[in-house]
Amino acid sequence: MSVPVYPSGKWNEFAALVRRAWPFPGRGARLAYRSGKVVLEAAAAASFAHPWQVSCVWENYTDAAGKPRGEWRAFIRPGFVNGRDGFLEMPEEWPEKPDRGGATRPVALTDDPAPYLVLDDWRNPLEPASVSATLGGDIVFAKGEGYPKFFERLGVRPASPGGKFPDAEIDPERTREIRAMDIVLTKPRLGSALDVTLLNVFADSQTHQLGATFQNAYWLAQEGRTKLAAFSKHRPLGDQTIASPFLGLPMNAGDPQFDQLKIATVYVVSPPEAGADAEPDQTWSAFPKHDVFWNLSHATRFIPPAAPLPPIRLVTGLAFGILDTLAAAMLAPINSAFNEVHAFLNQADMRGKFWTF
Amino acid sequence: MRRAVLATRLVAGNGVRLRETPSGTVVSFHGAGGTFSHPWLVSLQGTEAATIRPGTINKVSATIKGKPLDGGEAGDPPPVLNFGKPKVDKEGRGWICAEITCKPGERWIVEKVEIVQVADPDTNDGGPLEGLPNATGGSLPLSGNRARHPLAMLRLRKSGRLDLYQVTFFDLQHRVKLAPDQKTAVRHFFWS
Repeated sequence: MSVPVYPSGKWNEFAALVRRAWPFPGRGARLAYRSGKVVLEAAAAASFAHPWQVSCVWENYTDAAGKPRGEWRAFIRPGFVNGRDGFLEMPEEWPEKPDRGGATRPVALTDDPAPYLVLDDWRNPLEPASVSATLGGDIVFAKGEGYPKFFERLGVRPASPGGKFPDAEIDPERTREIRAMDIVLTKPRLGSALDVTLLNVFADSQTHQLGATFQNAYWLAQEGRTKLAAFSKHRPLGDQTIASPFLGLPMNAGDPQFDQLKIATVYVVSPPEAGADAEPDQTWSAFPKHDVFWNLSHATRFIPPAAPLPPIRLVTGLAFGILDTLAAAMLAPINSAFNEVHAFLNQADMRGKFWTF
Repeated sequence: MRRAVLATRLVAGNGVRLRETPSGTVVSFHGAGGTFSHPWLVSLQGTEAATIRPGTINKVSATIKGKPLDGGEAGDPPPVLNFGKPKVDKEGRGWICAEITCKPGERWIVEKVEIVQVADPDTNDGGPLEGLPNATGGSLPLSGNRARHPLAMLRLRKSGRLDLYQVTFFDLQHRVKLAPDQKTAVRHFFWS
């Protein structure tokens, strides 16, 4: 059997030919490297690019001090709320000077060049959600947030199971780390607040007046723009209440004057064998998980009346038990006092709703 | 061996672009996605006209100057919305909208759906908005018992290029919110 002998120059030429032919995924292409073959798929042709679609890229850049840096950026396909485009906050002098940390200005998703979000506040869904101590002195870890089942197949480390130990059992097949951030849409709107005024105080009785005010400070500050921002973890808005002097009941002390909706969660997955404290860089892969796929409509529950809402007055008497009667009435929708207060509170709640179709 | 190596070379077919580099070949596919042919799909014809695929609001078919978007029963070609120089606001935004005309009364039924190009969906004359947009959502009532729902947004760039962004993808339903007098509309709601 004769062994072919290649001069080194020829060998290098062949090697260069082979290297040149090695396929890498470019725009709209998805490649799966299998043993003995590479499967090519047209990624763009297989999927509908929907509004609010997030795509993430690692970008190397040089900062103002001339130092080379890199960051994960999320680009968002234009989406609309009530037919008007969303905005991102970008540096004041972007795109000429992209340095962050200074003043910003809103840039529409439909602008050219397109703005982007910087993803730099990753949370670790593998870690225990919280830690607490029992009366017996034991430390108890809450279960980790976890991640969609899809990532198990990619070999992502299991999340903390909770209990007395923070870490999941080691699985040699699952050694990748995962981090996540949420992209949230904020829609400004008119807000409302309840005022409780104590009109008269006698020895045993009080007269309360409930009034509603409508606020537009946030709406004006944002000029009505819907904005998107990236957060480590989106927490739905809670009711903003105060313990008012009105029967100790929680009252609307002024809502945030906006509604929010999570658009997507961006997960990034590390190469195998990454450490628990690894930071996402260009060696990680990004996987956006979308919560919204269509353009949105949004409306407040009602339009504020042209004339201020007439305040309602309630006379309560502690000593004679009327307070108790009214408090009980608030829990019993057969009582006219409850109905009156309930109707009033409804008229003073401007929280809005999103809908797609 | 040379033949064997050359036989494995990648060759670009239709819609494929190959960029050879010393360390490998980057494979790219052309095309912005699968074709999704849906109601209200707006296609620009240059920078002064557009065609719109048929769509309905409360099952009332939309028209351009009274002609159905599918051309009508006579089998005529689909009508073209010739808007000339696009009406846009100071940031170059304009909209192609479905403008409904309602019949006032108990049910405010949709009588007519006409496609229009406007600088703002919520102004009576379709001109640019003075001040900030409607803060409470829904579509504002317009004179003549009209209201508009955006189908697509136009962005006129400083270079003169006109970009289009589709807003609405499905046939629509409509309801009106009446004022306490039950005679005038305060908000119009559209959904799919």
